[in-house]
Amino acid sequence: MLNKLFPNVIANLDAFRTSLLQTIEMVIISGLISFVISLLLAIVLVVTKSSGIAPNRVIWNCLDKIVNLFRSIPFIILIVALIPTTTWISGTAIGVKGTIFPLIVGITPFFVRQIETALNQLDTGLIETGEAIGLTKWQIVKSIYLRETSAAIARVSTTTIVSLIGLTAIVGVVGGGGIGNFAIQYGYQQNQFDVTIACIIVLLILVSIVQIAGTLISQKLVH
Amino acid sequence: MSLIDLQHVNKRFELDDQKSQVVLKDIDLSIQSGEIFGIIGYSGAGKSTLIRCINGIEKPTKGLVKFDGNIVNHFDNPKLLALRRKIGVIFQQFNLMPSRTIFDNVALPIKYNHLNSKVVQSKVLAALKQVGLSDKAKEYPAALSGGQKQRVAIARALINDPKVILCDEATSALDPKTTKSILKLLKCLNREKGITLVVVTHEMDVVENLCDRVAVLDGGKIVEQGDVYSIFAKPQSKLTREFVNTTSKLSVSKSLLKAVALKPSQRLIKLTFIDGTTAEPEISIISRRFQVNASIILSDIKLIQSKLLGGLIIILSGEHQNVSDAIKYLNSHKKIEVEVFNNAQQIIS
Repeated sequence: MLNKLFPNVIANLDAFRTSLLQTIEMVIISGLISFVISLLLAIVLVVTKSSGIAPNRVIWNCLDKIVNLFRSIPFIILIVALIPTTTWISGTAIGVKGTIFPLIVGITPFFVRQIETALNQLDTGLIETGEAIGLTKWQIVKSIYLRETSAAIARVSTTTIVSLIGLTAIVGVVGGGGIGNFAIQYGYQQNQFDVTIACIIVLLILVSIVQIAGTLISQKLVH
Repeated sequence: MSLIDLQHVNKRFELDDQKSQVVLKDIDLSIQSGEIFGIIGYSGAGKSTLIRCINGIEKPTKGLVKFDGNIVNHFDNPKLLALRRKIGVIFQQFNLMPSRTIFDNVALPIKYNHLNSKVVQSKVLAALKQVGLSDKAKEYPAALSGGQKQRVAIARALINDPKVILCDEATSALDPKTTKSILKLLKCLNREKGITLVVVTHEMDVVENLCDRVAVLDGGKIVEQGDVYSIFAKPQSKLTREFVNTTSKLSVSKSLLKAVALKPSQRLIKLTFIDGTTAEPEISIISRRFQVNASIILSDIKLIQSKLLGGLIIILSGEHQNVSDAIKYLNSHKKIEVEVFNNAQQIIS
């Protein structure tokens, strides 16, 4: 039956499977690296804001502006603008290897804002308590900010990874590999509509898995 | 010996647009070791800022804050952290960490002290026992009532064997019955362990039931301070009188006058006893000596610092001359404050 419904997918099953794995690889690698960077930057933003525990106008302003700048560039233009840097860093600007860097640059500003919002939603009384019981600033970050917002961070990370899956499809347009590339190559350029549908279904499943996993994790973290 | 000393403390906050706001003006306070000191004022009076100056979270713009003889505003960071570990704080909203069990909440202040886990366990369990929540160690804060949460916060404040506990509106989010039990617990910690308490509140009831001395804060200034009994008995400032009146049932309102429907010959009289004269039988004396009838319609007598304080609202009736003689007699009594009302709600004398 699959043969009838998706003849062109079955014909290129190996390429389809490879592109799915490529998508997963891109999401995991760029997602993990971006998570670490975003978490650090979000902490810096929250700690250095004027009402934060270590206010610093200069650092906050610079970082805030940079994040805004990168958020305002459409991703497809950002990829093109980054090609020289990407080539310098990864040795190539195409394939999975060439997509990791632009994906990180593309998703991190969004990720930073998401985590920043989660951290800012923490009850300020808890931070005040941390100060009052004599915790150092780093201890407050570790055992109050991060620990008490872990469920919210899990939630925003889920949202971000779903967005990241979308971005991996866009890098397909400029030769990045993955499901997006497969859909462009077969579904669009060779006009094989069943390929497009199959790509949608696979992405839908991927997003659902991420969403369900994220919800479960954040529920586990709430008491 | 005084444990906490504030000398000419001023605090000004710089606002964004080059303006600044003065929150504390020339505060002079001296809190003795082992006493329960109240700071009362409306919200925005600067109470919380004052408390935050004591544990060094806010630095005064001018003036000195001394703790145990050391000048807090000259402390460097490690010294400040060490100071805060000696000062427990409890808050209006309890501020427990929702993701941690009760045990871990109480252990949080000593989490980074590199203590043996057995030592931590015995300290936490001892603190929980002190507040009567030994059986809740494994629960999460969400499973507890407001009063229980505040007890956990008190246990957390106790974990470092503090000399002082600062109570920032600690009972303002609790119902009257729970408030009473928390006040009882605090008083018990003060009496048994000698812990000094600094109690910030806007409720005069808390001052009445808990404090030894009190300072009244208005617009960042101390308008009055003294021992609780004399503040209740002879409030000097308008604000203090307002606060004292909130605890008294003896207010003469229009509806009260309407309810008693005085006859022209009758007078409504509010008597406030000061200096513990409540035991003297003045009412019997005037009715015998002046042939007047006194009917008590309201009475409110309370025990503050083991002394009686309060008053009565009575209706005097009888011959016109006798009634005014009786009033004259009461007025001549140094320890009784007299206010007389006729049916038009005018104060006559």
